[in-house]
Amino acid sequence: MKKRRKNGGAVSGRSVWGLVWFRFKKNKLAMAGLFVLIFIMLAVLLAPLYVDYQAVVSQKITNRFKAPNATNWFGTDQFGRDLFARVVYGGRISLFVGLAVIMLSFVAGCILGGLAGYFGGVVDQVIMRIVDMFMAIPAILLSMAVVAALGNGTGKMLIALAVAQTPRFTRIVRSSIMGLRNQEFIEAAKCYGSSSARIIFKHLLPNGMGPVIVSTTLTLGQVIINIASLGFLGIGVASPTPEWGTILSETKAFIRYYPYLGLIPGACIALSVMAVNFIGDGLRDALDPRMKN
Amino acid sequence: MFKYVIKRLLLLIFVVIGITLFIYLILSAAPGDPAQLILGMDATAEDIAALRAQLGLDKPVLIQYINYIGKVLKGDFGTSWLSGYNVYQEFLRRLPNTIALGTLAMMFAVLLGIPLGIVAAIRQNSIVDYLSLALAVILFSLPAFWFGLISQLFFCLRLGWLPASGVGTFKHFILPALTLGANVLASQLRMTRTSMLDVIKQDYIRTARAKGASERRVVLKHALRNSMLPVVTQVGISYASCMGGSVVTESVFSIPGIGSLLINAVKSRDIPVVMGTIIFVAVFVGIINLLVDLLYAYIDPRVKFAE
Repeated sequence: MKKRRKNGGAVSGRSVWGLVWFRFKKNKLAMAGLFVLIFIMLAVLLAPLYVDYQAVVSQKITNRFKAPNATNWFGTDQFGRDLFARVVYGGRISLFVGLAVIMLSFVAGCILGGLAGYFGGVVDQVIMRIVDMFMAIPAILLSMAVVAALGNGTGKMLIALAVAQTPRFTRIVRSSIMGLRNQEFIEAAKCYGSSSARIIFKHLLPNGMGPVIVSTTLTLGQVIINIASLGFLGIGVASPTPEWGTILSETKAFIRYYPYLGLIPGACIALSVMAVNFIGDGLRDALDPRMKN
Repeated sequence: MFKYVIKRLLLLIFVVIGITLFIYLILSAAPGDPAQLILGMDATAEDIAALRAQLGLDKPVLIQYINYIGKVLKGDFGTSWLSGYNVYQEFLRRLPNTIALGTLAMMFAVLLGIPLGIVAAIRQNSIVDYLSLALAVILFSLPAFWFGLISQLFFCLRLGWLPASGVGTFKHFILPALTLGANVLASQLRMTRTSMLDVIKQDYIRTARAKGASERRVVLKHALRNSMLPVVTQVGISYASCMGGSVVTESVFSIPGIGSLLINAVKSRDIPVVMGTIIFVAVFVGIINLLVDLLYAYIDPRVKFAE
C-alpha cells in the first residue's frame, strides 16, 4: 500500500489504495475484524516466544480434564495436555495453511484467468471448459477426492484445497480482465510493443484486482473452515499435530461432560472466520462504493 | 427447449469424464500401492501381485481408466476395494438419507432466508435489517461441524428434546437439517436482501407507488418477481454446496448417507467408492443446475435458451 500524502486529507491527493483505505477505516465492523485478525495472527505467530511446544504434546494423565483456571487458561484435555498451548499452536496450522492455500490458488487463478481473459478464443474456451468441469463439484468434495488420490498429509491437503479453489479465482480474474482488455490503455501498451506477459501482469491484473481481492478475503474464511472440517473428519492434519479441527475431533467424545473442550477450539475458528468475513465485506464496500446501499 | 436439455445432458457426460480422468491421473502419480494398502504390511509379494491383477492395477493407467469409464457408462460402478460391496447398490441404499437431509436443509434455509431478506430490504437500516445481517454473518462464519456438535450437546444431551444421531423419524433430521441449512440460510438472506434493494430503487417501482398501489402490492407483485432471479440461481448453487456440506453433517450426526460413505472411502483410499461418489455428485449438481435454468425461463420470460 502506498504511503498517504499528508496534505490535509484532501481526497484528490490520495492514491487509489489510499482512497480504499480511507473508506475502509470508516467501516467499524471491518476495522474490528482487522484488529481481531491481526491479534490472532500475532498470537499464533509469536507462540514459540510464550508457549513451550512441550506443553502441546507432553501428556500428563493425572492432570486431565482440568477446567479452565489460572495455570491452564483453557483447561486440559483427556491426555492432560494444556488446551491453550494446543489451540495457539493449532492456529498456526489452521491460519497459515489457509493463507498458503489462498496464495497458491490466487497465483494459479491469476495466470489461468489472465491467459483466458487476455487471449480469448481457443485458449479461453479450453481453460474455461476445464474450469466449468471442476466447478461442477463442491470444493470440499473435490478436495476430499484429491486427498483420497494423493494420500494423507498436511502438504497434500494444502494442494488438494488449492486445486479446489483455483477454478473460482480463474473465473473472477477472467471476467475482471475481459472488462479491461479493450480499453485504450491496453491498446496503447500494445502499440509500443509490450509483450503479452507484460500486458497481462503489469497492466491488466493490477487494474482488475478489486473484485479478486474481495473474493480472496471471503474465500479465506471458507478455506479456514474447510481445513478444520477435513481435520475434524480425520482426513486433514493428522494428530498429534494440533489443528483446530483436529483438536475438536479428538475431544468430541468428551464434550458432553467437559463442554469447554468443544467450545474453545470451535470459537477460535468462528472468531477468525468472522473477522476475515468482516474484512472482506468492508473491502467490497471500500473498493466499489456504488455497491454500498 | 428439448434440444437445449439434450445438449446440457451431453455436456454433463464430458464433465464426468474430465473429473474422473483427473482423479485417475493424480492417483497414478501418487505414492503407495493400493494393493499393498488393502492387504496390509505383512502380505506376500504373490498376494499383492494377484490382487493387482484382479483389480486391473497391473495395466497402464489409461487402459485402467478406459475400462473403468466404459463400465460406468453401462451403469456398473464396480465394487469397494476394501469391503467388496457393490458401489451402486450401496448408493441406492444411502441416497434417500442424503436427499432427505439436503432437501430439508434447503427448505429450512429458503423458507426462512428469503422472507428475512425481503423484510431486511424493505425495512433497510432498521433494527430488523441489522439483526438479520448480523445473523447472516454469524451463521456464515460458524463451522458446520461445530454448530452441529454444540446443538447436539444442548438439544439432545442437555434438554433431551431430539435424538442425537442416526435416522428413522422426522425428528432425527431436524438438527442435521438446521446444521446443514445454517450456511445456506445466510447466503440466501444476503442474496435476497441485495437483490431486493436493487429492484426497489428502480423507476418502475416508483411508478407503481405513484399510481397508488399499496405497499404490499408493490413488494409482492412488482418487486418480488424481478428480485427473485439472482435468488433462484443462488438456490441452485446452494443445493450443490449442500451436497458438499452433507459430508460433515452426516459425520456429526452419524447419518448413513453418501457423505459418510465418502469419508470412510477417502480414509482408506477406496478409489471405486470415491469415484462413484464424485460422479454421482457431479450428475446430481448438473441436473439441479439444469432445472434451475429452466425455472429461470419460467420466472423471467425474457430469458431465451441458446441452441
